[in-house]
Amino acid sequence: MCTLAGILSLSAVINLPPSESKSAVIASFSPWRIFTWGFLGLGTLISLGLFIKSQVTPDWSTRVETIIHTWHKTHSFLSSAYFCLSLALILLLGGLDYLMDVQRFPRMAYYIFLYVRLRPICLWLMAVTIISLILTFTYRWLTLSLRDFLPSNRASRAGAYCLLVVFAGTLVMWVNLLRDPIFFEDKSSLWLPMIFISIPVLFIGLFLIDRQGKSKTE
Amino acid sequence: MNKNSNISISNLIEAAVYYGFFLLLVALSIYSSFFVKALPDPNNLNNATIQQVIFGFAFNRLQRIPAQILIVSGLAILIGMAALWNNRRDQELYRRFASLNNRFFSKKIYIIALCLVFFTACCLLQSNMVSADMVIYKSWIPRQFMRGIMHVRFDEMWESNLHFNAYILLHTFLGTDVLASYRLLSCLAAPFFLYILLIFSRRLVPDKALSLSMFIMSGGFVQLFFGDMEYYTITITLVMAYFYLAYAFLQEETSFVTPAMMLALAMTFHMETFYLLPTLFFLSIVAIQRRDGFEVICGWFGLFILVSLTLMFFVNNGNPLNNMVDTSWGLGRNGNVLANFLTNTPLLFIARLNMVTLVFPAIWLLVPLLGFSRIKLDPFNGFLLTGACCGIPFSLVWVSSIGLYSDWNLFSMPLFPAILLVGYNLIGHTHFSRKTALLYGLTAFSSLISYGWIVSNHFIGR
Repeated sequence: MCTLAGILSLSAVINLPPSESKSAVIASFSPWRIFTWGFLGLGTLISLGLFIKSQVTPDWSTRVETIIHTWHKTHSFLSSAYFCLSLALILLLGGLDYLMDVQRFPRMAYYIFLYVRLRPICLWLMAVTIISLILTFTYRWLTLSLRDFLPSNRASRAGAYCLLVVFAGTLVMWVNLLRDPIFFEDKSSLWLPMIFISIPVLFIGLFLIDRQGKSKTE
Repeated sequence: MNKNSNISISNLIEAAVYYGFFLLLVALSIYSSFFVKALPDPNNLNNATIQQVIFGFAFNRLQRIPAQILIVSGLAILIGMAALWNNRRDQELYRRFASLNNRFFSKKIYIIALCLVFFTACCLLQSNMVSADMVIYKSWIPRQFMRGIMHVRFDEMWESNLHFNAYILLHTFLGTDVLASYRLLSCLAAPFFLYILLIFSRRLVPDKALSLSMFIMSGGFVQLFFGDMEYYTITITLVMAYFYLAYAFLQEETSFVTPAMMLALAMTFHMETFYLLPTLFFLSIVAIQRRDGFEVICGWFGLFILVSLTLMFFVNNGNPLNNMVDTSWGLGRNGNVLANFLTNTPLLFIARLNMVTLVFPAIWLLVPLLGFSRIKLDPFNGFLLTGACCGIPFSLVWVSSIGLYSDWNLFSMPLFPAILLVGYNLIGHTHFSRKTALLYGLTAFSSLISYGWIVSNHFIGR
């Protein structure tokens, strides 16, 4: 999958028009373009090499998998940190892709030449990180049970209801804000009192949930 | 026998690396301070030589401090280190310092008194350095006040609004100007920051809490509390509180909700704290492993709601969302996001390394600490490592639009997890011969550079 994503990204970069003649160094391509190709090409070759090696010698792939599995088991905190950083990278790349979109932000047209070169790298990196993140889940250091995500006593249930009410109110505000921003700015409306009521309700809810956590540790 | 000699050799090599770093820091500082001509404007690298950029370090630009004072202070540090070189004296000092440490932390009044002393020092040595941003705010904020417009910036919502309200209050009753009100608010954050740092250090390394606090306070980022006229001081205090609560959560003393809400609060003060979101992912994983998934869901919901309500509050007070987002530096000012990190140049990158060293000179010890596997694999280090892995790259690639050295405070907060990581592991988990002498030397020398910078900024433009 990583190789496939790499090939797709590489083809996207290859299809771009040649660099400007003043910045060209080799075969009418700029150093930045050569770096882009090199980065994508190397990444694709590495994943292709790993794929071929694992198909030719299955023992080797089992051995590597055992090593990775043991690392995740023995270094649980580093493993968690790796997971968090991968997630952060995905969010960063996703955010960049959103902010670089010329349709949403017309001033990005000024950087369009960078955007078309960067986007394939961003998408490839994102694909590789998502795949590795899915693999991390398979090592099962994170056992998920639905029961853990539900309130366990009356106080926490009450807290959850408070939170849900405020959350619903916040969603209504967001919908109104995105639908009609001018209406929301009207000072005579009821939005401001709603915000002021929401804050104490939110904190009462969180306090009740926090007490549940404390009583558990005590 | 062989094993012992191997241990002592590796111990010696490690000590040599740490001392080597210290000597390099001193040598570079001396060379930069006395043998390299300073740039007239450190933010303008157009006519700079490579030597001026590489060695724009230490006292290179702090010409207001007489060389005699620097030489005498440097000699005093060296004499102190030489005295501590003796193992017997080192142990005696350690015993005395531990006793002082325990006595100091035995009564809250001592801690509060120290915080008040620090607050006084911050007020007395207030910075007079006006950044490019502040030049704009100086005329902008009174204008907004006169027109009855609420001042708020998307990137620093409560931080900007609190500064604005403090100005209104102080100007109305005392006739204070914008700069003075900004300075006062920065100084007011100082005792709170120090208080949290002290009690947190006590939790991290009980016998060496004072040493850890002093080591951390030796960094240049402390300038934030000396009347820095910008929007970072309250946020960094909240970030410190977030670290404390995260530690309490990892020790199973509080629920996940508490650090999550503290981070949410910090985010409403300054959006730069977004870089700490991965650390909250880390805490979420720990909570889920403890089978506290419900708290994780509630914490994230709470964070989303608090940030949303804050945004709604400001939108409802006459600040259109589109305007706020379009003028956000963090979000790329309506389509300039690539300019925030792709306009880097090699010279700017070198200057950036200098700036990182200015914020916390001992930060480079992170490399040998990682190399010698001195970062103890405990949950709190995992948390700090996650934060450092996000904060350090940010500081190394983000391009400031008002000039690197004008925006030094922007880079202080992202470096904070790395600063704490170095301090906690160097003082708490690293053992090699003559460590006390090195710690003393590093703390004293870093303080000399950092507080020299503070004094220099105080006398600037006077």
